Amino acid sequence: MPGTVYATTVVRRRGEAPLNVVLVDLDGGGRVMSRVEGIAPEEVAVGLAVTEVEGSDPLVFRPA
Amino acid sequence: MRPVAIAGVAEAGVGSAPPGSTPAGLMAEAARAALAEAGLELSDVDGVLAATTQLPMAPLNLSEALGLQPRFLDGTQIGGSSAIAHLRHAAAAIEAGLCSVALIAYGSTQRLVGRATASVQELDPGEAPYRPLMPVTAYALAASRHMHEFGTTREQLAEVAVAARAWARLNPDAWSRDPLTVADVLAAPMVCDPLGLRDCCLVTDGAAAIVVTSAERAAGLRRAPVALLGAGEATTHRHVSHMPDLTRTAAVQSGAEAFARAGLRPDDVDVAQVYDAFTITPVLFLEDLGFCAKGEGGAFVSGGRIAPGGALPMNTNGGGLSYAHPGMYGAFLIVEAVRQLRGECGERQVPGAEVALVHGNGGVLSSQATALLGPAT
Repeated sequence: MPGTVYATTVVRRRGEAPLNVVLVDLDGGGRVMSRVEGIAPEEVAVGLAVTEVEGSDPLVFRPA
Repeated sequence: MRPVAIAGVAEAGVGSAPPGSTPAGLMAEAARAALAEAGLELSDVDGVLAATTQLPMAPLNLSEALGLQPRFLDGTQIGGSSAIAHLRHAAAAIEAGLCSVALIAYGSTQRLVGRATASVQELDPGEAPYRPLMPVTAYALAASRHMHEFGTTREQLAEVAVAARAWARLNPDAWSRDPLTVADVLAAPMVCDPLGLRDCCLVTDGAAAIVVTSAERAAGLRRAPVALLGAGEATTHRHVSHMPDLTRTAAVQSGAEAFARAGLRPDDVDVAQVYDAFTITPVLFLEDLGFCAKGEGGAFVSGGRIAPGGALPMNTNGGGLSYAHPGMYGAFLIVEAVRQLRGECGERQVPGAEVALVHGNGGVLSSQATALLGPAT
């Protein structure tokens, strides 16, 4: 399920590791909230091409 | 003559409310003060409008606390824009003959009881697994998109907080009055990138009340009436993943309707009170309300334009960023606008202010409500 990062943030809770949260526009249409893994949270940029991590539940993405 | 006017406003427990305070009690205290200011009695009130995060049936709590049995009730809960929507609903009810004196109130003890208790965040099932820190995560996502599309910078967002603080330094009642620079805002700990701690509003207690009646009746009361010139309300979504365009809010609709009904344009506004829960919000709303073109909000708020002495005095009490932010801020925008139009603001008074814009936001950029206030004739 390929897509593009539409918006991104890094959630910083005290005492926890920084957590990426993104909105991803899916190539097939629609937009979902998710997380991009396999890259530092701060490195996730708007416009980044991503694809689903196979078998992930909840659905998460990695750089394409 | 404009049909409806604000006859009295008041606040209670703003900042840190006394221990034992309740949302209904603070609302009732503000309501009694607003009625006294107007020169009206509790027995004159036949309409009650209220919404808080802590009381799902707020108009009933307020009516009970005041011993009222009103014939018009409205508990529209659309977040921080609610009080501005209530103002519009009160005007419609008065014009339709459903009530003659409407009391609008808001109250919060979120600082006393803790934000987790006072403002339970309802998460979308599709968003919850990713652990967004709501509401700030939604605003951070919008800021990231605005930066990407338009080149908006953290420095430009910081200008909003710096201007708010400059106003707060002129307001002895403001919560945060220490000097604040762009560098200070940038150096503050990050909460949700690109928003840091100083990009986020205060967490305070507080209540506010507004008394609305016909302009004709208001003209005979104790204080100079402030007329409602036009208003609008609109929504695009509830949860941020359903927002059609993160850089374009329903303020486009609510603002256009308010200006059209008032027969005014952004150039006519002398003083603006624009919801600043986060530094990105006035940037979005000033664009959507037509004060500048889409994408130019960052440049627009820079260089002191919205600060004391600037071309568009905005959030003149210090705003949600530096005056107070009791959870839902809309009622406080109206109170400050009315005080400015009456010329009661002392050191922070905008000279000759005749037309004020108030713009409220609710949820996660979800609901927008705009009102224009000014002379009754």
